[in-house]
Amino acid sequence: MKSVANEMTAGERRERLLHGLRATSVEEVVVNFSHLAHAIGMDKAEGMISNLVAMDGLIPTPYSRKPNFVSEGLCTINREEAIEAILRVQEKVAKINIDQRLKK
Amino acid sequence: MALNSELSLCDKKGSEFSLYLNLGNDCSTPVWTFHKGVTGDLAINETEDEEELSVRDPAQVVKQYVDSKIDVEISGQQVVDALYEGTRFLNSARSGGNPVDVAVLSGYIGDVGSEGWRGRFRNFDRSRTGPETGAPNQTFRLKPAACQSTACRVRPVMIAVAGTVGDYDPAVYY
Repeated sequence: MKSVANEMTAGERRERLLHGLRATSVEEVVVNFSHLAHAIGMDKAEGMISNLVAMDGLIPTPYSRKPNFVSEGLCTINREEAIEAILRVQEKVAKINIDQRLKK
Repeated sequence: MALNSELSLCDKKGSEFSLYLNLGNDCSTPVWTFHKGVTGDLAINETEDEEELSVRDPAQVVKQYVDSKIDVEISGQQVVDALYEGTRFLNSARSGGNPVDVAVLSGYIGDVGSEGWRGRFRNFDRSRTGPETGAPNQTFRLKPAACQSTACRVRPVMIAVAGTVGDYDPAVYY
């Protein structure tokens, strides 16, 4: 099931976040909170973040002079902690998928 | 967004202008890191062409202009360190490479009131200088990249308080 404005599934979001987190080696990074919550769940995401702000922007709209207003929540997280959390969720989802296939 | 009648964000250093890099380069799922290798001045150049509309009406005694497009350019200098990820990232936006997703702000990304631009840019100046004394440095000059998806297009952004209903539009005062 797709969510966060029907952009992508939670699995795809986890993959993309992992790609972004692994592309750097700094300790703290800033990510979109809704993406983090989409990837690992609201409860876990809430426990990891600090300094939540919003980044307001105007996204250009095709065939129109009026852009769309978009507000994204940005939060600071520890990079390694986030990678571990995403990997744990991926592992859990993989186990559930294997169990479901074995039951069939 | 509520505006103040008093100056509230003016107590800042010019060095707080900051450049953030989305090193994964996925615009739809950005992971922002601070470019700590920027040296010297960081400039956000934002100009527009003066598109004059000249008509033969004798009652028109002043030159008049119509709406135009904004020319955005981010320029500055960075350390010469081919192994630093920030330097490598900006250098990769060269001819034959790919545009890079960056955000340039008038403050830090966690500071409410910082404003700037975000999107995919190409780097048109990568000149390096090795002075006789002092550290070497490299110029960068970023311009918006063409043919980008909606999520990657260059756009104005502003850092606001989380959870509030935002209404940011640099073209609107009221």
